[in-house]
Amino acid sequence: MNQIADYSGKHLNFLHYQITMMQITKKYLIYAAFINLIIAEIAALQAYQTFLASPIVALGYIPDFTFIVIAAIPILLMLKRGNPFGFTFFSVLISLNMGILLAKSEIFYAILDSMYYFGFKSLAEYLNSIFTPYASQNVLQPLLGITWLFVLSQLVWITAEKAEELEKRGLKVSKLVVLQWAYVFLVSYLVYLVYPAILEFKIDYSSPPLLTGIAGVLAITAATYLLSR
Amino acid sequence: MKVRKSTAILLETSIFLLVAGIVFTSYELVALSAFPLILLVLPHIPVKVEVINSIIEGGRYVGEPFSVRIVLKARGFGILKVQHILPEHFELAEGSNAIADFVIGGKTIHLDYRAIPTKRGFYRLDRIIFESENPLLTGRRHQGEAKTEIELEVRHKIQKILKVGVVRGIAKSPMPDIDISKIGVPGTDFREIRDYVPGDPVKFINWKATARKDSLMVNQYEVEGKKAVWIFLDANNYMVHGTTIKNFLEAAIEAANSLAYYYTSRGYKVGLYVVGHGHIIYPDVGKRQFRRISETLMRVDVSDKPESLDQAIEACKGFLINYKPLMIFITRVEYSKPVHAVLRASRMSKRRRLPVEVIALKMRSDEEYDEFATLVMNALRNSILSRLRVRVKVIEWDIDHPLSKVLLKEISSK
Repeated sequence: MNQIADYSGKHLNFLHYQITMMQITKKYLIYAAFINLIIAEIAALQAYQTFLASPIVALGYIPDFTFIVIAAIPILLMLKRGNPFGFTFFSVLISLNMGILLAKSEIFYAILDSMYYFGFKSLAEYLNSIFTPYASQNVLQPLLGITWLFVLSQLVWITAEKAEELEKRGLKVSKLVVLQWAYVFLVSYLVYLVYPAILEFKIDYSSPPLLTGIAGVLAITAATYLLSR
Repeated sequence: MKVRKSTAILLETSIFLLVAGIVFTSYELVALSAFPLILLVLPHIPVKVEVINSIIEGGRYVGEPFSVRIVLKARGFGILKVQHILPEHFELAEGSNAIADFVIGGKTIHLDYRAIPTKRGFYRLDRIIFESENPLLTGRRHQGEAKTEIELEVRHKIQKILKVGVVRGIAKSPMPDIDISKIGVPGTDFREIRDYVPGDPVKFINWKATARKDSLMVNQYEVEGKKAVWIFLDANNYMVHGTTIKNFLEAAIEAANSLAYYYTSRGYKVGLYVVGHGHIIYPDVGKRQFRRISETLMRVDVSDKPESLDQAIEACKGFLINYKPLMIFITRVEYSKPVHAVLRASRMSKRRRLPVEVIALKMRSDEEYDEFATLVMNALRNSILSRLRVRVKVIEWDIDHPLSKVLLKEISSK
């Protein structure tokens, strides 16, 4: 006999929870893992291409197998029965773009100034000569692409987990997951397309720096508060 | 408020990018931090659900499957989960009583399933709960409830009990099939001559006997109708041992129901006393009486207030003296310890002992535990049973077996 289906679990007394005939195969998570593997590899390729065009490459020799190493991470994560595109891998991809980000960073140049002041003149001048040409390079688009792919993969994974959970509780899920994945892709892709335009709109609007700063601090505080609960 | 997983991951990504952007004074990272937040603020139109049609078929008896078909109309946008609430001790046989679907605008949703009621009772299956949420699984869920008119009355299937005993008159056997009633409409069969008591009809006065004895004597005739049977159903809290579906109380109710059917269908007056609740159904005959008993049994649950069998006898004393019925106690003897009560019941009549029968319930699974407590309880039960067997008829019923088989065995062994 099957258990009575219950999407919340609160209507069931689990003392009487009976073993379901339904076999829990985790099929949705398997599909999601393969989808996320593809997404992760695309993001890795994008990040690697940006990395190759960064000042870090100019600093020294980058072995050819670097991309293979990066591309192997999602496969390893998948073999460990996890999400191939986890937060750690996302951080790795963002850090691959760090060269160009540093070239545009005030903090980085402040550090170079300090080095110069403390006697490391040649090193500071060398780094400055390498990084400065990349300051005008656009890194927003590749970063946006990586972020979109990461968010997409996370939502795909969470919806698959949810579908598994619902099926485990005896609900008929049928085509729900596929429709959800299609919706997640369409919506996030739409935001991805529109997002640069939103940023440009913001850039054109000359808000006072003080207000922007306050808004930023408030955003962090609000987010921290929400996450802490 | 608990932050949902999707919301948390989007916020984490946003915070990560924002913090990295601030640390490295990167405009790009700070600008990107708003990307996940946009997905968080996407609107969600809560889905509303209304019942179009609902049909239920079958399920009149415990173990008999019933099929439910509910047609719902959903309007809105998002993920919708609908669940037809069933009692926890129902089992699904086919399909599912809950469904999840993606609603875009409007959608007709069908809930089709078959389930099995495993416990008697009257059930109102009128609740359909639903929950809708953003397809991205962010934000809050919207819950609602729709009502439908589905009711289910589940009774115990009446077990076919074979004919039990054929001794007429004095109820030597506790189950006399052709015993006659103590009270009722007098027939034409002469029984005896006795002293006149106020209320006796004048036409029954035996004038010759009166002249001989010099006091009023009347003819006593056999009354029409059969003997009364009084069932004592123990509903004290020790009767709930077992699972929700199969426990001593359920077995006792099933036995009481089957016996009530057996006797009422054969023209006996049948009465019932639910020990623990103090509920009496006065003896009567016919199908209506059976329905009355059956409906009472359907609502019987375990009692919070303990009542001994002695107290039960005391509560029914007047009726027992009047009707002089066959008394059937359905109980767990190791807890109710009915020796004294049973003796008292059998001595309700001054002239001869009243027939009493005890159906002692036991569960085989009890014996599987080789624990000291179980051994002690078994020893106690055996001791009580041996004391009871000297005085009254005792039937030990392992509730994992059908009652009819047990009664058949008892008869064939006579």
